[in-house]
Amino acid sequence: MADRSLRSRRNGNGKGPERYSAWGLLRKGLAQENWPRAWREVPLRDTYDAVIIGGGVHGLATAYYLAVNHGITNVAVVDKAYIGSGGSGRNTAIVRSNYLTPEGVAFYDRSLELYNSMASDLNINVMFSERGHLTLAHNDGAVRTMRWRAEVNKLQNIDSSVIGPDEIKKLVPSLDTTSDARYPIMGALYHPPGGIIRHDAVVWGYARAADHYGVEIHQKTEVLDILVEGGSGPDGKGPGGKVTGVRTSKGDISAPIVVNCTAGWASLIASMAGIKLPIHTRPLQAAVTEPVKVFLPAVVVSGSLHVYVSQTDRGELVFGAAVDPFNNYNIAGSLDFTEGLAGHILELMPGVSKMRLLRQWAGLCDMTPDYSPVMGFTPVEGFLCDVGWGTYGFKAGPVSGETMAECIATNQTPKLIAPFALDRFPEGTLVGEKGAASVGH
Amino acid sequence: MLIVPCPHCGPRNSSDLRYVGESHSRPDPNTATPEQWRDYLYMEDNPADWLKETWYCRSGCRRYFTLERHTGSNEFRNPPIPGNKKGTKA
Amino acid sequence: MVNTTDLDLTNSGVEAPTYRTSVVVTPATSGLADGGGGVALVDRGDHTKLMLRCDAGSAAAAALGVSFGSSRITDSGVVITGLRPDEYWLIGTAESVTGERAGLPADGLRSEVDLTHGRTLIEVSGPKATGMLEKVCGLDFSDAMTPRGAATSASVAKVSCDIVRAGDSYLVACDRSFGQYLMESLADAAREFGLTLGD
Repeated sequence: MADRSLRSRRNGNGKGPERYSAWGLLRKGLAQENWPRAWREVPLRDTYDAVIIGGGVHGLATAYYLAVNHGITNVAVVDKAYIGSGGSGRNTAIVRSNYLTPEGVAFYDRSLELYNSMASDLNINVMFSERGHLTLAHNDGAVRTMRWRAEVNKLQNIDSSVIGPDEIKKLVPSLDTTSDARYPIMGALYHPPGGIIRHDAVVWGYARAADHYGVEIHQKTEVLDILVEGGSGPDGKGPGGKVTGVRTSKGDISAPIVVNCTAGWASLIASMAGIKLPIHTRPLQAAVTEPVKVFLPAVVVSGSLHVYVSQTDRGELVFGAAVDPFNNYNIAGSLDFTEGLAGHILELMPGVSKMRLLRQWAGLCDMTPDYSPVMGFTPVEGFLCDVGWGTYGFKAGPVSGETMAECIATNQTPKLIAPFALDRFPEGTLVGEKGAASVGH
Repeated sequence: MLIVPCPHCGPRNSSDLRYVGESHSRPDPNTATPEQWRDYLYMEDNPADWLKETWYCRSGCRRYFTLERHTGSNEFRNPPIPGNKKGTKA
Repeated sequence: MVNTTDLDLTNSGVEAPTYRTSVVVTPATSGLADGGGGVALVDRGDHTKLMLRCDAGSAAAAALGVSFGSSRITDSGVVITGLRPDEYWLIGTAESVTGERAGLPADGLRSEVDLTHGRTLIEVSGPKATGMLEKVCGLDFSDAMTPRGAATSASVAKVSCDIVRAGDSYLVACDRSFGQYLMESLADAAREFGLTLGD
């Protein structure tokens, strides 16, 4: 395979944005110089080649790869709040590629590859920590599934294997691996390349690099309507129509391409174009403890207990849970979630009983019936979607951006995302990626 | 904890119920095209607004019923009162 | 049409000890009992539980004399209760339940299932019974919300249970596979109030 790193694909002279370096830090510090803005704030123009709705990692990565890989730079990324304010800044920052189907594995492995080279490609410290990822099995059935996943992974050259309680205890001594635990740990799927990454830096890195190549980022710019002509639905919207632009809170934009990268709000944006999606919105809650000394060397996930935990470089434990049990756009969180989460963590690690939670939050997940995304073209010409990522969109950010950019630039669906087309629902060819997210299903 | 107004049992913790999802009328399986049927199976309105939805009272009366809830505030509109079946569908 | 003479609950053909859905009092459970008497837990696995499904407006429902959410105790000591809008239970000794059943009108469509072997039944009594139940169940057990005679269903210690406030005590029934767990959970919850086990 040819060199697939980002850098080799850069067009032009290969000069990125101003480089961050230790020398630069020292010089600016001594000279009391101000740092330049990481991205520009420019007035909204009335026409672009493409408008990307949603300034998260998917939207910004799409804009970045459009500019870098395809030379399409007359692009606006609009977000109703600030960039990274949605799922990109609310996830638990775990990346991995040990999925269940060959399609899923190929997709996420490319994503992990892009994450691996991201710090140098984007010249920003994304603090990627490749620390290993453990998915615990608490019963025979789960052990069997882990073996299946491990074998699928090995065929795809993914470093993934099933390990027993003794090895688990060696890797993560704080886990209760005794056999009389309420949910005994019988084994785990061990995936050494998995790890955590600083999600804000990923968003900022893409934003800064995309901006450098000419992409405009418009924060606090809410999309109020999508302008469609010739569709079969009311107001000329819906299937058969053609996108002409976007109405925002800062004025109308005319654009032949509009991309929906809005995760939990995807259905609302799609309905503006007259498109119905197979998506329901559920919050996923997470919480973080006070910082303590580093004792948890790997990412630990338990599907049965609906919990995953990792320790940040600052020492806080970050917990995530399953999605809420009913459709909801409310990100306030709930006390019964915190109670259940704490109970489950203590089942796994009784030693953390004295730790205090600092805060909890929630992010909106766009859940699909087959736990796979909806990517590519829609029945409205020029309106594309990169949504339905549910609980695992962050891991897929870079490769989604890369493939969506290819989709837009070539006007053809790349092979990697062909299984995730919206028309799989009317055609009944759903994708079964049960290994997609570790919890909730 | 979301408190769900069960038309039979009264206010209950949502953990005592199962969320079924958006209420849609089912097309006639004898006449529906596969596309219509799959549209019924998979497509959702998913509004950030009032939503007509189905719940199942798993640990209580074991009945399915329809309620109207706002997906932003989680408020129920016209919550049914047990014994007064007006406005509810058992 | 129902033939009310073909079923004799007193003669099930099964020996009583195996017929029971009894809870084994383990050392762990009995260790929690200090005989304090705040809460008394009694395994009523030997009680006959007959489930009747019929319309609330049917003659059988009228003869039962209870509606959904309520219960009464007959002269023969049988607890008759409406646990769901179309589901009634008769709880008592095999003889007395058979007797009550014989008095029901024969006409109208209904179904009957003997749940005796399928449900564990625990009687919770004592001055602190209400407080103990409120620890493990989300319902309000005050007299205003759950008066004497009230019947309801809810999750108790995360197990779906039917609860009847019969007289001075609460009858708590669950699927028998959860019975042992429920007894141990209730015993654990009752510990702070002073627990008495058995009759």
